[in-house]
This record gives sequence, structure tokens and C-alpha cells, in this order.
Amino acid sequence: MDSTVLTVKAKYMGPSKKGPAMPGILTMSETRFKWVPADASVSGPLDVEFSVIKAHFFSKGKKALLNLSKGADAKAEGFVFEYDDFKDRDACRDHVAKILGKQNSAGGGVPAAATAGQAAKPNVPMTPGAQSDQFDLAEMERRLKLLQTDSELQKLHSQLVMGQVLSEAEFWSARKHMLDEDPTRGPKQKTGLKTAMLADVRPLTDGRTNKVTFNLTPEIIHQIFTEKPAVHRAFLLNVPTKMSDVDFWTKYCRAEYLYRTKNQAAAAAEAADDEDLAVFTAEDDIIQSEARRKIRKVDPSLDMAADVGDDYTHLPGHGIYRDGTKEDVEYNTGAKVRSIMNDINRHAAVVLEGRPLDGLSGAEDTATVAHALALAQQAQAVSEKAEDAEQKRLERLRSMTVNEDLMGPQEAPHVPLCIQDPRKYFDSQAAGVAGDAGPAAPTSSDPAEALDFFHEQMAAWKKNGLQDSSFMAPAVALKVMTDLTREISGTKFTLGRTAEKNVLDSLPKPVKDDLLQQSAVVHELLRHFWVCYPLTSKILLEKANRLKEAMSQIYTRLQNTKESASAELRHQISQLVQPMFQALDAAFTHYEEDTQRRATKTAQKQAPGQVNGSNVPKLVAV
Amino acid sequence: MKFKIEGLTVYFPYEFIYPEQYQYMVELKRALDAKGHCLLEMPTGTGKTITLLSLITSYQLANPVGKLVYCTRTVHEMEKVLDELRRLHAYQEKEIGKEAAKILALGLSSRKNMCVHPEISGEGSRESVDAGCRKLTASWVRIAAVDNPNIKTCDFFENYEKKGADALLPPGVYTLHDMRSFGREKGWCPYFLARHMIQFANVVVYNYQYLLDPKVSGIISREMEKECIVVFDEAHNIDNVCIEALSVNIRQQTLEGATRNLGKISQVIEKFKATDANRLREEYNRLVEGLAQRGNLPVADNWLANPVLPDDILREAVPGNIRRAEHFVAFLKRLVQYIKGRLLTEVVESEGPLSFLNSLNKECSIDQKALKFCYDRLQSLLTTLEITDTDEFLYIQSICDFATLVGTYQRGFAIIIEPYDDRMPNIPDPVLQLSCLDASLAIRPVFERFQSVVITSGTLSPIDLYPRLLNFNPVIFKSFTMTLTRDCLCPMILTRGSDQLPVSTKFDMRSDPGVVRNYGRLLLEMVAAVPDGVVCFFVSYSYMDGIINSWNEMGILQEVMQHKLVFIETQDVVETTLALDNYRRACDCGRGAVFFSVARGKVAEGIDFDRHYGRLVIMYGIPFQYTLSRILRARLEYLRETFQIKEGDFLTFDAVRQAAQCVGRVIRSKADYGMMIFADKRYNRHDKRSKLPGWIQTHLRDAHLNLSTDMSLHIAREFLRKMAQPYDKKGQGTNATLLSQADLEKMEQMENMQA
Repeated sequence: MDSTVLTVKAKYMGPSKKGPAMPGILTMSETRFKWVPADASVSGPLDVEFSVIKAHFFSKGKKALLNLSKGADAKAEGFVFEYDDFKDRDACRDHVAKILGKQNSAGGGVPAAATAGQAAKPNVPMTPGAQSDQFDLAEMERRLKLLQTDSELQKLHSQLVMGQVLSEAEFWSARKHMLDEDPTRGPKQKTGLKTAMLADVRPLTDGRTNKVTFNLTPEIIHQIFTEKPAVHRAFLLNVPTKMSDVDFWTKYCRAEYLYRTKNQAAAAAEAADDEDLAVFTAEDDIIQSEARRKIRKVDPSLDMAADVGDDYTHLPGHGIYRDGTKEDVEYNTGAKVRSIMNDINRHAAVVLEGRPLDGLSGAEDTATVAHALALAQQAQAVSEKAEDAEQKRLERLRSMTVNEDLMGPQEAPHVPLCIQDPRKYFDSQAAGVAGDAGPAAPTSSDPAEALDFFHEQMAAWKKNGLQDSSFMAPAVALKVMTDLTREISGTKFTLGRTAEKNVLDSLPKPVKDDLLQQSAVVHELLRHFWVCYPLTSKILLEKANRLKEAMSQIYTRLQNTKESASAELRHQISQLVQPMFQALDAAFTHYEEDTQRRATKTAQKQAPGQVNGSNVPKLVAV
Repeated sequence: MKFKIEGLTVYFPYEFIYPEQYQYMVELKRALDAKGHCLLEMPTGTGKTITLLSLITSYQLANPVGKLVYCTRTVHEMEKVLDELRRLHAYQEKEIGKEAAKILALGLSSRKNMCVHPEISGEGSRESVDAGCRKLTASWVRIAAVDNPNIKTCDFFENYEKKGADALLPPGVYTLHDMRSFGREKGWCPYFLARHMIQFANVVVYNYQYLLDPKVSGIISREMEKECIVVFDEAHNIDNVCIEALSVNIRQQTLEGATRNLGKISQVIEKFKATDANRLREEYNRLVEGLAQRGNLPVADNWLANPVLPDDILREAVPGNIRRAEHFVAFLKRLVQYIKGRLLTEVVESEGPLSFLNSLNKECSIDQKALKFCYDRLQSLLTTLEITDTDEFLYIQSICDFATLVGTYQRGFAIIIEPYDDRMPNIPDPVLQLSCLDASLAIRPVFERFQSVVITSGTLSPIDLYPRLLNFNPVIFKSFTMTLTRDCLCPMILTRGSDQLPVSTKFDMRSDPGVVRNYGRLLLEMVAAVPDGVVCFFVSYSYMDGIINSWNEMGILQEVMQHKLVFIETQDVVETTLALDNYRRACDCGRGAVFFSVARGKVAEGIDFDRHYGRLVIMYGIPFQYTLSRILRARLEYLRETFQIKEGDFLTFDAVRQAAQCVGRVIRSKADYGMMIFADKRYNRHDKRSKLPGWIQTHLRDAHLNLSTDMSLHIAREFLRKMAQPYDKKGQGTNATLLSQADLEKMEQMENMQA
């Protein structure tokens, strides 16, 4: 019945999941997986349907494990396979993920789907009418992923597609944009470089001969190039004109090996003989010049290089040359010796700048890496700006000197303005401005203005003293005062809350969810329904009929919901479902009219070509 | 905020003040009123700098005192001080108006850090910038340039000179950077402008050396009036700075260089004799009249003077035997030859200046009086000979420094000749070291000349030792403790590793792989638990080098890198600066980093690891000096004889103050928090622990002593969790940790009522 999708070698870890591992062959199809042991005496073969598998887990560590669990967590009963490599494991994992994803989406919304009859083929999403749909695996995966992340969409999908009202293709045709904006591919955070010191390649010995082996991968080479610009430059210059790729790296590894074995003298001797090799042992002039450039940009609060130029203790002959605190041992020998410390600093600096090359993983030869890096560096050199750096430098100095602890509270904490319904908000604002008759009207709806007015009056009163002409009757004043206070407290209380307070919120959660779900279904159906018109082909006609059926079903369901609701909710619910009923009624009327028209037209043997006059009705948002 | 201290209105640019800052101001004001010196210890993280600046500038506004001379150890501290002063000044302007609050504050550094000449400023070292500058600005070069337009001069200097007395800096606060910008804008030389403006400035910020080192202080600090207030900030190392300032070492290459220099000078003298004998005769006459005449030289030529000499010597004529140029050169040649002979020795020799002078007199008939004048005689000669590439002549200058010091001081110095370093006896590297043993010699002129000298730092414990070391009588010496709303300091003493074996950097234990591994595990556990920045201090470069290599081989370093990036202080300042910059950026971006550094190193001396830049400091071992060093031995002996300070006490004091200094950089304000781990079993002993500054001791709970790695990890986790909770910033009632203006006014009223 199913065709085998993949066949790999895998070890079954036994029912205890802990081993011993039994080698064998694992085959997976769309509905089931089989495992046949290599040694039949150890264990019997397995043949399991995917429908019993509820979850799958995989290892991240050293072993390539896949755990197909019958329960929701990893510890539940199930099957654990160990693979020889991660590639096989990942292939199996992806396959299982796909199947389980489909299974979940099928089982999530309609619990009845888990019956034995349907479980045999729940994963054939194609409806009879859409047999011709051909979609590739990637598309499929993306749809599954989207369904997994969006539970509402999943419900809708299960209700409409699994309920065979719509075909898979029809369902997705309106949602192309959602598939395109795959969130995982969106503006994700750029990954930095790994902290591990890859460039610090350690040689491997086989223990029998005197041969040592260095393993270099494109990643390692990239790091070598970034951390040792001189090697990079030498590579660009010499390969492949002067020497081959392999020769170059042999030389490099040789130099590294001598350095590693602490054989500085030998390294120097070799370098003296071979000018190419000298590049690897000599001090890196590119790093030097880069350092000179960077030192100008560092934060003045840690610029120790400036001190050397300042105090006079650095003159030869000044101060105490050899005392208990100093150890200028290296100062004596003159030449700067490369040490692990320099390597570590350099490495950390490179990691921090962190610019992994795109497509590095694909690059197989070192030349590509070298050229890509050269390009990236050029691009970076252009983008740097001197003034920004200066500004930043000063800002950092400032941040190092200010003591925030002693500063007063910066500003009162405030709730950020959040306008949920902008139109409503701006309308009310406009009304407020229009209706405001100026400061003379303390009954204005704007409390702040009223308060200002009040303050003004108070100030005037303080200045001028009590004058009969400007003095209000106490009763009036009291009335204004009470009104004002009520107004202020009232607005303060209701401000920013009216938008949230809609009918839906007052409903209990299950009812609310149900309503939302139903309205989503109704909208989906209506959309597809109206798209069908004019019914120019048989397929469309069938679809319209199918949709009409589904709509009448949901109509009755809505009716039920409305009637079954408790007395105090009924009013609100009927308010909410009213637009849906109206829209559905309009669709039904149109359907009836259309059927009638076509009936008469077939009677008159006239071609149906009349343009549908009515537009898709505007769906009222809840 | 604005408040009154005993009648003085103090302007403080923040809304709140810490109680200890207020106390500090009170004490400082009393010292200023008494016109005496003072010694104040206040914990780090309490804003010493702003407190000092705020009180003293307010004092200047109210009383007719001289300028504030603020001495820092490093250029970056100088920039920070000036930046704080700028904020303060802005606040004062706001409070009392632009006119009333008018001050001029500026930083001064070497030509290297101030030059704006497009070519010269790009030169690498300080000496080459100095020499490059002199090549363009020396008076004879400029005179020659008038006739010959091919001779290059410095436009910035010429513009500045043309303006003459009109070239003035408008009032304000100028960092080095601002000075350079101003210079560029006006086309004036910022270096000479700054030097000129010092006499008009209210606040001058510069390096210790500008006041302590006689070679520098003569030109820079001569015009300071007696009423000045001198502040030495971060002065816990001031005794060492003083000693360095008066010490000279002479090595083989110094002598070779000096011989070359003398040869060159002879050539130039010959040339002058042939062409311009008049010049030399003029110089001779000037010398007969006495050195005081030197003041008449143009400003750019006048580069190094000698204030060590009392005024009466300056008026004295130079001894006859070195008045003539060729005689002086021959004199120096004999001296160099003598020192060369002394360096050939194969055993260590140590003697006082007197016996050195005796044998010098016997063998080369060089007398003490002539030696004393060597320094000034050389300067006069170099000026007369119009020698501009002064960086070539550093060697002979060293010799003359040495001669003048030996000639001037008979006590408090030692001359030690070592044929090789004790630590590497196979490499011959002879050195003649004139070592100053008495820190009070260099600082005495400062104490005598200025009315108030303030010595302050976060770690001056034990505070009674400093007046003895520096030989002065402070009117006030006080150590402040820190009031805290929450225990934001968490010092711990770790004595054992996770395997319960003791850890220490004691000589017999430090290379034990078990100790190295335990230290590594400690770091590893901590980087996994502590967020953001972690700083490690080691006792010495060589120890750090060794332990990093071991960790690298053990794989510990690789494991640490899985949690945080690693940066290391190296001997190369440029590399270290960049490493620090990267370290901060790594902490800023949230990646977190570890910085390996050395106690007594450049980083430990002046870099702050506050806030997220340092949540934890690990001090590996006790940073003792290398006790077998001859110079240290000589100094200890001198201390014992002169000040009755025991050797062991001094060594422990010195080591513990360095350790305290290292860990103290972790906290800046009371809102900040940080942990400090002293990882050595010896810290647990009372004699070491009791020498830690008070603000560390009070937070060192008994439960935090004698810890092993796992216990300290537990404490660290607890601490970090506690610190993450919100807290009441101001504190309650009597233990308030933040005072507002209202609080201060209330306090003042209370005091008035009591009075």
C-alpha cells in the first residue's frame, strides 16, 4: 500500500530504550516504520504504525539518537534508534516530524478523527477534487510548520480541509503571503563566531610513525586567515601562482608544529632558509598597523598607550631598573616573541568583531575562503566612519564618569500610550477640539485645560484679592467643582479602557473561543463561496454546492450556540452573531437566485454569462 | 545640590550625596582652613574625585586661595577628572551664573599627547615627538628660518608666538582632546599654550611626575604660588613614585650611548670653535654669572631644570673646571670611563654615595661640587651648541642626572652594582643602580612649597604608616568607612581547591600542578556562574605566563572560552589597551569576558572594572615583591634604621595594599556590586587579613573565610541572586546611605541648635 520512503541502517535500543543496541535496517513509509534486525536471534522485527507514535525526540550530543515515543514525553514507552551518523538520523527525524505534524493537525481539532478507520490514512490530505495538486516537500513542510505555530489556523484547517469542505490547495491559495513570510527565515539575529580557538590546530599522531597530521576545515582556515592577516596575504599572493594549495598549508603546518614544540630556534632557522615560511614566524605587520589605527579610537578612560607618552618613567635610565616589583625580562632580549597570550588576545578580538562568512559551509577549497574574506574586509573598510567613532569615544568616557546612583529620579515612571483603536481615538480627539469653546468654559471635556483655567483663576485671585466682580457665587463654584472632580476622576478611570471593553470580553472564555472560531470558519467559507462566482465551470459549481452545505451546517450550529446560551449572555451573543447571519443569509439568497437563474437559463438554452452584480459583502469584524 | 559646610557653600552636581562624601568634605575643609596637609582614605565606589573637586572649587570661589593642582597617575585618569570637573562646572554655572563661576581648568601632558602638527604628532614615541618639536621650534632654528625659507618651522608654534600675550584660552574646562581641538581651530600650538596658561588656570590636572620629578617639575611647576592646593589622587603608591623619580640606572648601553654622545658633542664644539667661537665665550660668561641667568632663555629652549638644588646654589657660579665646554666634555668622559670600570665587576657591590664619591675623587679626581652642577651644565651646553635632536642625547643626560644626584644627596641613597639578574644568573647584564631609598626626599619640596597637600586613595591602610614613609605631619588623617544599603561587596578568602588541597602562590607551591589545576577549576566554575565581566589578577607576569600555558595544555582555557572570551594583559601597552577595549565591548554586548592581569601592572594601577565590567575579581596569590632583590633589601634596611619599620611588616603591607588595590576597582557606586576572591591560603592568616583596608574587612564575614571552591561557588550564586533583587536605594533613618539637600539642611539646623 505505501511505498518505502527511506531505508537506513539503525540500531534498535530495545524496549528498555537503554540498549543493548541491536544493529538492523530501518525502513520508513508514509504510515508505518519497520525495523529488521541483522541478527534474527537477538530480537524480532518491529512493524509499527506512526499513528501510535505521539512524539519524537532526538539527541544533540555525541550519539545520533532518535526516540519515537508513544507518550507525550521522552520517558514514555517507545522506540529508540541509534544511527551511525547524524545525516541518517536527521533524514529520519525530518520524515517523522512531517508525519507527526500532519497527524497532530488532523487529530487536534477533530478528536473523532482518531478512530481506527481514519487512522489508516489520515495523512493523505488530498480531497478527491484536488488530486491534481502537486506540491513539493518544502512547500508542504512550510505549511506544516505554519499550522504548528498557529493553533487557530490549525483548527480552521482541520475543520475545513479535513472535513473535506475545501481542498488543501484552495485553503492555502488565499494564504500565500503567510507562507512566504516564513518567520524562521525573517530578520533573525546574526550568529557570531564561535569562541573556540579553531586556529589553534593541534596535530594528531598515529603513535607508530613519526608522522603528525593536521586537519584543516574551511572553518578553521577562515579563522586562521582572519586571525593572521599575513598568512591570508601570503595565500592570496602565492597560491596558486607560486605554489599549490596543499604546499602552502604544509608549510604553514610545519611552522605551526615547530612553534608548538617550543622549538623557536629551529623555526627561526627554517624561516631564514625559506622566505615563504618566514611569513608564518615573523611578526604580523598588518596587525601592527591595524592596532595603530584602532588605538586612536579607544575610550580615553583606558588608553594606557597615552601614558607611555606622558610620564617620564619610560625614559631609559630613569628609575629603578631591576627591583622586586619589575620583571622586564623580555625587554632585555629585545625581539618580541610570539606567545600564546598574543594569540588569545588576537583570537578574542576577531571573535568579537565576529563576521562569519555566508556560505562558508559550502566552500570546499581554501581559495574561495580567502577571496571571500578579502572581499568582506574591503566592504568593512569602506563602511567605517571617523566621526562616529570620535563621538562614541566621548560618550563612553562620559558613561565612565557619571555616577547614576547619585542622580535623582530621572523621570516619573509612566505607562506608554497604547492606542488600540486609532480611528476611534482620533475621532474623539477631533470632537474634543471642535467642541471646546475656550478656557472660559470649565465644563469642557478636557480636564487638563479646565484645571489650568482653575489655576489661572486662583492665581488672579491671589494677586488681586477678593473682588466682587470676579467672584463667583458659592453655589455655582461648588457645582463646577463637583462636576470637575467627577469629570477628572471619571476620565482618569475610563481613560484608555473603553477600547478594551467590548462585548466579547464579557463572555466566558469557552463561549468566546467558540464564537471566534466559528466566525473564522464563516469568513473563510464566505470568502471561498464568493470567489466561486460566476460559476463558469462544473468544478466551481461543485465547490459552491459543497460550500453551501458547509455554510448551512455552520448556520445551524450558530443558531444552536445562540439558543443554548444562558439568558444573560444571549443578548450579547445574538449581537455578535447577527452580522454573521446577515452575511450568510446574503450568500444563501445569492445562491438561490443564481440556481434559479441558471435553471431558467438552461431551460432557455442560453449561455450563462451574466455578471454578478453584488460584490463580496464586507465582513464585519468582531 | 547646594549646601553649606561650616559656612562654606558647596556646589555638588548631583541630587544626592553619600554621607561619607559629606564627611570627607567636612574633614577636607578643616584641613584647608588650617592651611595644612591631610591624608584621607575613602573606599572606592564612593566618588572621591567629584567630592574633592566639588569642595575645593567651592572653596576657591569663597576664599582667596591659589590654584588646585590635581595630580593623577595616568592620562586616562586625568581625562576622567576633567570630565567630572566639566559636569561640576556646568552645574555651578547654572547655579550662580556664568560670570561668577568662571574657571579655567586644563590638563597638561607631554608633546606626544598634545601635538597637533600633522607630521610630528604621527611620530611613534614620546622622545621622537619631543625632538621633532624642538627641531621646528628652537630659537636658533627660527632665527635661521627668517633668512632661509627652506628651513621648516611649525606653523602652530609660529602663530602662537605671533599672538604673544594675546594668545589666551577662554575660561572653561579643557581635556587634552579639547586642547587639541582648540589648537587646531585657532592654529595655535596647544602644548605651549597649555604651558603658558598654567599660570592663569584655577585647576591644573597633570601627572605626579610633573610635580615630583625634579627634571620635569622645574619647568612645568615653577610658577605655582604657595597658596596652591595640591591633591595626589590614588596615592597609595606615592612612596614608590617618589623613589622612582629620584632613581637612575646605568647600563652597558647607557655608557656606550653616552660615549657616542660625547664624541658628537666634541665634534660640534670643534665646529663652533672654527665658525662661531664667540658663542662659546658668551656661554662661559653666563656661567660665571651663575645659573640663575638661565631663566632668560626663550621658552621653547628651556626644557629641563633642576629644582632639587636650593636657590643659593643656583646663584652660585659653576665651578671653574667645567665652565669651558671642552673641559666639561673631558670631565664627563672621565666619569663615564670610571663607571665603565665599575660595571666590569663580577660580584655584587653595594655602597653609599659618600664612599662612591671618595673613590671617584681618588681615581679620577672628580669632586662632589662639580658633579652637582653636571645636569645644568649639560643643558646649558646643549642649548649653546644648538643641538635639537635631544632624543639622541638621552644617554649622556642619564649620566648627568646620576652625577647631580650623587653630588647632592649623601643620605637616603644607595649605589648597587649588579653584574646579572639574580633570577637569571646566566645572562650577564651589568647595571649600576642609584637607588633612592627615602620616599620623603622627592616629596619634601612639595610639602615645603605648598600650603595644603591632600593625599588620598581608596587604600591607605595602615594609614599611620604614610606620614612616616613620607616624613610629614598631616593636620588631619582619617579613614572613612562605607555605608551600604545592602551588602554589595562580597569578599571571600579561598584557601582550598575543590579537592580540599590548599592553594597558594608560595614559592614552593606555585608550580605544583595540583595548585595550577585548582586555580583553573576555580576560574572555570566561576565563569560558568558569574555573568558579564570577570577579572583575574596574578602575582607577576612570569607567573601569569606560566599558568596560562599550563591551563592551555590542560584544556582549562578552552573550557573557559566556552563561557567567556579571554583577554590578557601583555607587556605591550598598545596590545593591552586594545585588549581592554575589546573586553569592555564584549561585556557591553553581553557575551561576557575574562581579563587576565597582573598586580602591580599597568592595568591594576588605573583601570576600573566597575559595573558589568567586573562582577568578580579573583586575586590569585599574594603579590609580594621579589624579596631577594638587592634594592629592596637596601630599602628595607634603610626603613628599619630610619623609621623603625619592620621588614616583614613593610613587605606584607606592600603586598596587601596591591591586592586591595586590584580588587577595589570592581565597585564604583553603591548601586554597583561585585565579588572579590582572595585565592591563597595565606590570606586567612590574621597578619595578612588585618592589613586589608577597613572597608573590605568589615564585609569579610567569618563564613567567608577559609573556603573551598565549591563553597565559594555557592556563596557567589547566593550573592548574585540577592543582588538581582530590587532594593531601597536611600536606606532608612540613621543608616541612610543617600542624603538629599533637605537632609543636609536638617542636619545643619540640628548642629546650629546644639551650638
